[in-house]
Amino acid sequence: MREANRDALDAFLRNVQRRAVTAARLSVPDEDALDCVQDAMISFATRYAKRPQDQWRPLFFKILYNRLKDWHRRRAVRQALVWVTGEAVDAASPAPTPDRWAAAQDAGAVLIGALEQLPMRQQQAFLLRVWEGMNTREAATAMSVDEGTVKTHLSRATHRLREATETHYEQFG
Amino acid sequence: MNNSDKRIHELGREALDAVTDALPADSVRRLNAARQQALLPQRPLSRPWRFVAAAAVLVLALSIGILMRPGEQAAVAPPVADADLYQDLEFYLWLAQELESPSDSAS
Repeated sequence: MREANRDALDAFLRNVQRRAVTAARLSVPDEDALDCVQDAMISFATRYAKRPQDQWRPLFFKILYNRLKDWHRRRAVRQALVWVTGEAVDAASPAPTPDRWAAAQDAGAVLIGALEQLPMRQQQAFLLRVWEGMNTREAATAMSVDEGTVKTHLSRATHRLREATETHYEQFG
Repeated sequence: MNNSDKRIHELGREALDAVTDALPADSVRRLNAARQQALLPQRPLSRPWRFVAAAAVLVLALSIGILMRPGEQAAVAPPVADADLYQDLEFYLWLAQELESPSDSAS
């Protein structure tokens, strides 16, 4: 890897790593979220570092979301094995603690709690379009869907989050 | 976009930023270590082990095809609709890499 590209890659991963963990924690336990982000960084550096830098962000999140999808698939397989064998295959990840989102205040914590409950596609659309600031095309690349689907998921996510937080937001402003 | 949606989006950004800034120091250290590992030169999978990985995937796929044959051994079929769950191709590629060079393990 050329030095200039390595420096650019280092800066990009340093910028995105924390946000990636937050995004991952919304759908998997904390420890597994770190593992998924670590895997995504290694996979991204191996496969996509030579792509144009304006493609890096959507591609990185595409890899991350594929990792998270794999995590959920493996959990379903483990649960199926328990069904077949009647025995636990491995220890379950620790349950989330009540103060998991304590850093977000009041209505913010309520919103993040609601974000956790969204279907994965709606959650991804909200994170990528609203938080990461991607345009519809970039989000579609990251989610491996068409742009119309991104808009639909974002609209539904916003509606559900508004419903979940409406009462609390009116109380706390 | 109406004002209500704008408020939700702004609230979401603020909350997610706050949670991200509060990430534990230990987690940040792990991320930094993983980032440095990602920046190391990555060795491509050598040709012989590619064949091993491909063969392992083929054996797995054939085994799944035999086990998933309709009408046979229905009692052991797990209650999962998606057969893709069992085709963990990346796992066997990773396994092949581990067999080639276990000291380069990411974990």
